[in-house]
Amino acid sequence: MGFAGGNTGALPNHEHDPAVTRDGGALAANATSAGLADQSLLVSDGSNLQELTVGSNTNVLSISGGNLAWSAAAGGGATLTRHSVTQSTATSTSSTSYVDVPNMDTTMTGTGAGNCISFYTTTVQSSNDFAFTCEWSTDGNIPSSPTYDGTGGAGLGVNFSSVSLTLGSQTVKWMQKLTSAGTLIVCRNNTDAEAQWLEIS
Amino acid sequence: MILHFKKKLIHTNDMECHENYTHTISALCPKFKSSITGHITITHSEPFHEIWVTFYDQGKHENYSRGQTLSTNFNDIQKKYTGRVPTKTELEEL
Repeated sequence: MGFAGGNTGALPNHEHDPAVTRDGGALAANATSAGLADQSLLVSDGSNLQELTVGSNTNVLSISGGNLAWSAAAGGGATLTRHSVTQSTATSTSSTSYVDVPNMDTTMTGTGAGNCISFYTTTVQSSNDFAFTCEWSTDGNIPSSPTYDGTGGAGLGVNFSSVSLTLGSQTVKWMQKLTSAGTLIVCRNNTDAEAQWLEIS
Repeated sequence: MILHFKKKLIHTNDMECHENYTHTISALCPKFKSSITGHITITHSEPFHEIWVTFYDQGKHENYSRGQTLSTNFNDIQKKYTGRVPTKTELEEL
């Protein structure tokens, strides 16, 4: 069969290059059929065009083993879990080694990787310098041993913080001590004290 | 040794309450030096205060935590209590 314009000979490769006269022109949208399923994509395998059928709802296009494929979207934001304990009864101690702040403790529920942020807020009165720490059963005391000037008289509002190194179902408690002989009071005059923990996993 | 009990105390303010009770223990047990040969922790609840009196008679600091006694080595301030350790009943009846 001759070509338009009367030429004869071998058929050239089938192309649609608009830059080449009588090369077939561009494929037209909504007018070119390819025998594909609805919403399929054409993907080259390096030799031929292959059909990539549509994935499931919420799937994303990704690469697996060097090939395009539909897959479930990766997990999004972190999981946050909050614990809190309040105290409204004053407690006094004369210990110069760490002792528990009564009832200011909890157990993490998260497993696996993650961290936990803790805050302890109270009103302190002390006859000498003092220290607070948060003891994590796996991670230890964080911060290790800060010291605060407690000789400023009566009633000092304080807020301590701690961030764990890991998560993993640790038990955790706030602890207190004096750094020299004396008396340390928390939740002074029965003002509310609160310990909070925010697990991030 | 940790003696843990509840007792009514005359409570004016937190600091005075703690220090008054400390003097009471020291009068009973002259070798008890608060913060040095032992320590006292008080939760000033009403009508009964909850009290932990710790004597360092074992040569260790002791902390009552979640129902257990946890022992740690002495720091530079603490010393072993060498006096008589009273009974819990004695302290409850003070």
